[in-house]
Amino acid sequence: MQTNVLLLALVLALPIVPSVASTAKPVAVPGTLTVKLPASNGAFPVGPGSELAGQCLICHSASMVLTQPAMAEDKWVGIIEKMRTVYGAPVPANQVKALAAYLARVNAAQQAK
Amino acid sequence: MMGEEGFLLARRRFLHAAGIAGSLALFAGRAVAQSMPTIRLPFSNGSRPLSDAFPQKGRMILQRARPPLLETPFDVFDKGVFTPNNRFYVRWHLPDIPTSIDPVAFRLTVRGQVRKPLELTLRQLMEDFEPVELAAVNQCSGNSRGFYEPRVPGAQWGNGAMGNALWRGVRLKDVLDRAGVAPGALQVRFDGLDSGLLPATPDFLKSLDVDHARDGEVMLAYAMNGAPLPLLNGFPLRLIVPGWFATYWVKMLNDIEVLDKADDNYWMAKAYRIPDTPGANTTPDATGVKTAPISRMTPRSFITNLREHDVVRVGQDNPVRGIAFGGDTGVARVMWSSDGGTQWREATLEEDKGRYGFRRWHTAYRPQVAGPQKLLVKAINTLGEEQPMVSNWNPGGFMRNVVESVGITAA
Repeated sequence: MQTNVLLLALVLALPIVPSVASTAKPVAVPGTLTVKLPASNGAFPVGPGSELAGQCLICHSASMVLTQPAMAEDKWVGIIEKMRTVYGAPVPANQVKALAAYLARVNAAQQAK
Repeated sequence: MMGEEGFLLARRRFLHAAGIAGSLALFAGRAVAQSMPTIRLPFSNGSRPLSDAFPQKGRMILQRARPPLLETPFDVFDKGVFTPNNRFYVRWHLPDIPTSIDPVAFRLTVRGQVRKPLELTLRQLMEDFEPVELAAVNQCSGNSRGFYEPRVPGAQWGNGAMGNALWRGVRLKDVLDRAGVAPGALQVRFDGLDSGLLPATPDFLKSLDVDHARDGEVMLAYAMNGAPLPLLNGFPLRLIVPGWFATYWVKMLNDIEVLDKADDNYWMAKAYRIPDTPGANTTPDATGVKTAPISRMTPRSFITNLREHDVVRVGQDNPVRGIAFGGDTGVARVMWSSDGGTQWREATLEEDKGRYGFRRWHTAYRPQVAGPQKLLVKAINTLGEEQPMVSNWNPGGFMRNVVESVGITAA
């Protein structure tokens, strides 16, 4: 008797299992899905170093750079180095500083926006 | 101008993958972007276009076109407990995303430390395993990153990198049991169809401990809110990790590998790490902080029907409502305050759609005097965990869950 009460208490204390066997109508295997992704339209402001920033566009839109908060040049060096070493961004080592200077300048101009 | 051979090669691959005929297209869209309506997220450099241009999506906040980062405009969260598929936020890491998927040709492989490797069609997943349904919040690890002070680099999201859906699919446990997890299995690693364009870019892979993967709640979902997943949300199959941040919810999931060691790939060992401290909290000048992979979510709550600068009526009951979620457990209580957090009153919780989902709540606010007011809201989950009054901070901008407030005027 006591065991039964204990068992019942245990069962009642169990959390409700949140994923439940679905009673909804079965869904059919969907057909082929083809979509068109919009072109990435943003551009880097033209200026000394903007041709280097063009390398960023291999993998991502300019907006990824242009929406960043205020960051000094040394922070940009860190980010460029991560892009080079982790993701393989083809920025030559001797151009990192020039690119960082460009990004810091563009980034500063962006903050009022 | 861009004379680097490697770059040109890579760019050819990119142009091919993106389906762009001429390189000028990269720079041709300025006028289009400028004619788009914009929204201002409430932090510096917070102006963003609103875009209707993405497939299977309505109007979204355009954080980045490629790979897409689309934020859900916050008013969507006032409309219902589930976030519609066409307004559900989108977050991709890598630029090579398939744009045409044939679910008949699609295969999910299960391999590694298993007795019997599997290659499953979508039909087999739908018909040979018990279908299950679960409401769960999918929230980006960096949701609300733009609000951190000091600011941190990364996608500068407002609060809309989250959504709640009713996911339908099969238990990962059932699929793993079919393959038969071999002794010595430690983690289960998930891979999707997306990839980088540069050879060095690490493929996006995420792993769960094998016991977590077999907990009967982690799901492989082929439908969301009663319809197939939109392509940008992971069509045709997505991992659902209830209560955990979205980084684990691998989209276009096509490969499951059972590992006999801890996964040391970049996206587990280096990225998405948080300070191994309470609330993932640290300071900008701290050094040598031990880190851990981000994992479970923590409670959050938001007012959805009032925005900054709205006017409410003095001496009258003004409806206040919103959403809350408990993190990796249910919401126990939602509390609100109109005096800066000295006194808290309990809001009324609406229907419980499942402990991992959004919970709607409402209350009535009757200001006694005219003038500026501030409403605060906080959720307390069923573990007794509550939102902090002061935000955490970490260099990744992860796991923000500070008490939210809305500044309004009573008149």
